[in-house]
Amino acid sequence: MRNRFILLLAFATVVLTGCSDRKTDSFSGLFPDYSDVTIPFNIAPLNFRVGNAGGILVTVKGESGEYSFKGSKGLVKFPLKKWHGMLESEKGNVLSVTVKWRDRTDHSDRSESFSWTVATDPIDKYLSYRLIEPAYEVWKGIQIEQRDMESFKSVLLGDNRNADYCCMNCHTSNRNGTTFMHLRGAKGGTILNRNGKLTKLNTRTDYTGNTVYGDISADGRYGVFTTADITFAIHSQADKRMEVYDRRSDLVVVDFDNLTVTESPATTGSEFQETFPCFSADGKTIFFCRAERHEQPDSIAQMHYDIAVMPFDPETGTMGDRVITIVPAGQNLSFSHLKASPDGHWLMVIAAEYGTFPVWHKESELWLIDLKTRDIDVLPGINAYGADTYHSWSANSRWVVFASKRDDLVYGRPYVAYIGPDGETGKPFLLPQKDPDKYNMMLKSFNLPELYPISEVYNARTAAAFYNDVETEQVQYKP
Amino acid sequence: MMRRYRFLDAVYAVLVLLTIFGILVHQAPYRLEFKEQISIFLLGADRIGWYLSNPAVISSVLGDWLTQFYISGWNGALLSMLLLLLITAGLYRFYRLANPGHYAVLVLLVIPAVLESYFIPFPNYPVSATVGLALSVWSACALAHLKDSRFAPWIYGLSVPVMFVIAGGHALTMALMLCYLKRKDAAQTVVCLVAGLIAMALIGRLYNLTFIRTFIWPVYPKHIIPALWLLLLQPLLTVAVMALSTLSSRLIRIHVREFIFTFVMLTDVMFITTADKELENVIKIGTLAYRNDWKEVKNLASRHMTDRYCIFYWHLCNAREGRLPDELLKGRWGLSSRGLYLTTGKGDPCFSMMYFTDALMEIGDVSQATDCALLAQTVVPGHYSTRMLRRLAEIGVVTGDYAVASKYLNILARTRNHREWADNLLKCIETDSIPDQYLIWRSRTVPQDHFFAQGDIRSSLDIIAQESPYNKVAIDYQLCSYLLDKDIKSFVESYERYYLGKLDQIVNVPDIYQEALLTTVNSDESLRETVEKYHISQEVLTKFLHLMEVRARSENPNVLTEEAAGTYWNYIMAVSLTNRNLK
Repeated sequence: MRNRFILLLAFATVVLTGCSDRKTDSFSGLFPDYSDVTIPFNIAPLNFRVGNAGGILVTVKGESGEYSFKGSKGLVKFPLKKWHGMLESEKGNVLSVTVKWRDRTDHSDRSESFSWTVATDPIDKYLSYRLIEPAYEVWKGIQIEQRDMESFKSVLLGDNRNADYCCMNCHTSNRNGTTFMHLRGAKGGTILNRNGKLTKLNTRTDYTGNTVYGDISADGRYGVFTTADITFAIHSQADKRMEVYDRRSDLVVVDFDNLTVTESPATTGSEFQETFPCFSADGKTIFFCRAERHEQPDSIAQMHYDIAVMPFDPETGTMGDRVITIVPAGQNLSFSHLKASPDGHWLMVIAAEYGTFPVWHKESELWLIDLKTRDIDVLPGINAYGADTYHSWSANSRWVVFASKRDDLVYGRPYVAYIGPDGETGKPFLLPQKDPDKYNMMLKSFNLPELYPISEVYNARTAAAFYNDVETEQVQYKP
Repeated sequence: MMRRYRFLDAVYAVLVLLTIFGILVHQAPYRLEFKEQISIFLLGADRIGWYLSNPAVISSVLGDWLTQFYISGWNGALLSMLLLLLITAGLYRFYRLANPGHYAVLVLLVIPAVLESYFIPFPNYPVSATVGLALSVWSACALAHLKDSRFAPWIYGLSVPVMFVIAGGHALTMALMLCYLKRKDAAQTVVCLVAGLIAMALIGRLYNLTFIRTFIWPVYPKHIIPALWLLLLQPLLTVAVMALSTLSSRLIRIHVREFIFTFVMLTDVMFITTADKELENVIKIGTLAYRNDWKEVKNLASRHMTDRYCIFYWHLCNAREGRLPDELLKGRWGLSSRGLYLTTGKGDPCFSMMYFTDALMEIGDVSQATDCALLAQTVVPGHYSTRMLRRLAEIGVVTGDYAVASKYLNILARTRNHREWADNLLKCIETDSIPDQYLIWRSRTVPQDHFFAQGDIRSSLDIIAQESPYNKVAIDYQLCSYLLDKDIKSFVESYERYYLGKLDQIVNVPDIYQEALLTTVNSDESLRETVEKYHISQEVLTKFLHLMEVRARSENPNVLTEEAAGTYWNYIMAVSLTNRNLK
């Protein structure tokens, strides 16, 4: 088995280091590139622009009939009702899309065709993401937004203008009605939503640090978190950006029923650093990343994180005391941000050359591990040059949303990709916007996208009230 | 008689406005121009969404549109004065409607404009705030035409939150003006207006604004305006001047007008002339650098050598001319090496981040330049700075990240003032004909990857010097910072590492470096070794020997010769040379 991994990893490493621009250029004037994509039947209209176009006519042919849409000034906006009616009646079909337009420069008539495959699997109705300037350590206008995937409606879940400009991060859901979001700052805490009941927790104890990246068990009782001392350094090389790293990091489990925090001797200590934990679908295993500790930032390039597992007892809330590495890292290979699919079939991870913060690593890619066979798919159909990071599974395990910097290498944008039952993938497509030009004009990154089917119960005002007025409940350390 | 008073009043009011114009042009031209640098006017999908997601929709759009024309002090002052004229005219009109048959003392009604002229020079006081005031005043005029009916108070009440959405916090001004209008049968109107103000505060919550921010929107607190209560003075003053006008119109015959005029003029002059002149200089020098008018930058810097930004630009100008070490000590050096760099921490103003990118680009520290530019973009009030967008685009061109550069250039290509510049650079990228300046900067960047902490300029310079051995600007910055900090040990180490046998083969070693190297001498033997090893020139050696001779003879161990004035030996007097055992 180990030899098989080494072969796979050798192959994968070659793919990773030799990663080139694999972005297809099938219809160069089309933005976003919605050509030949697989889409959920409940997705919002894929409005698009055609460069240098005037009037546009879009004809969509499916088994249920032919649909025509008109656009102007290079922009096609599909009427919401008609769009959903069309996709509803074309579930499981391949749509043939023909775009005809008048070129504004030479006034010639042009046309292009492509296809849309309408999957029968819906995508979760909601997506949350953080909107943040890609600056390094000062933030001003952080917002966490919840977007309706079936329309263009969005609601703010957090806005740090009303919370002392504190950092807000990691809005995470277990897709079953439990979510958390960290608010930093003097009056901060972790806002926990358990089936509509909100509390503000202080998860820091005398023995364990602040919780950072984490995951919630399917039943909502436990959260597994990294506790890390995070800092950053700057690269001297001009085309690289910052390097975020953990001075130290460990894992803890928080019991939301009893408000206790526990750790395991297997993941404490300074010999190794552990991060990015997630529960398996059955909640009996914790996947996480682990690397031998090196002096940082000088030896940061030596920080290669393996994928490891440890057992977890959901009855008692205790982590096991034995760690098993299931996918070893390699020279130029480090894993981060593990996310197990809700159906228990897959583990999606980020592979980068080194370190624990792939968001500024242009070589970062998403890899898919089959948890039954332990085969690794390096997902050539999904990855592109520019960081592909921070993925999130839909509740039915058929869709992932991830943040990609493939378009301009600086600003992350949410891409949606189809993952079939056997691991086959669809070409990723950019989260549709009412006017896709929004992506070109905005100077904020879409960060930490998270899919979930149940709407969040609070909004930015509630979050601000929680920050400012609600007492924090202290989580107790349980030895 | 009344006609004569009216004429005199109009003359006085016009004089006040002209004075404001004159003072703005004279005292705050660069602060006005700076508004354009830290804002942007776009009507793209994202910006429209931004406008709609905040209150003061109309005043923000109009204000940002007008800000585009603040491309010089004259333009800024003229537009500001026209807005103030509009506000005064609105108040006059409203007064006439509120007090039919009453005489309006214009010179009193111009006072809110005077107060507004105090706010205008603050770089973060947006033009949209002044536009919001004008909109509120004229809305009050429009509502004053409303006929008395039982619905009128309700319409007044409803108009407050509507006005908040349209013009921002100055809806309060309108509410107070309407209270004044209905002062004689105020009860119901006041109740409705208070209800309107409560609704406004609640709507502010919908926009995720605090109570205070609701009433001062679109002004951003925590920036430059020194006291928030000053902003609330404006609505109160607007009503107060009307009451005063009613009162003083009865006193017309005792020529109270002249007194008022004198008072207003004095206040006007005092407001603006006592405004922060240092801030004007800080913005002026940065703006001149932005315009690439380096000659003027140097002139200005040389005249204000007590200001950290001027010292910073003084050194930068010299570095650009390859004369950083030669001119290092000609300015005041009280700030030590801090004068060479700017700090970019959390509490530092946006100027530090914006200006520091100028030096970082020259040095070749593109990573930190990116960091600073993004930070500056973050801390400017509207999160968009055309100046920093240009810088980020330039950085993309320098690093060869054309996708990144194109992102910023495509945004700038949609602006009125930067379209041509952006289009030209986009063409350069398309044809791969990159302007020389960018190629020079590119040649100074570091090919190998190393890490350093944010703001650790010394480590960064070390890395650059190691990786680009002929990057004289970076090496000079490093050596000069050691000299200014009197850290001779580090200076000698760095000199030997980066200069000796490398740069000294192609450029003349600056005198100051030779002087610094001679300070390590403590015996005749080491003198000979030093002179030989570092190729000390005869001229510097003669001066040094003469100085040592005089000091050996003198009873005062700190005596300096006339020739030593302006040398590094003079600077380093705090580190005594007296223990040198020299003949």
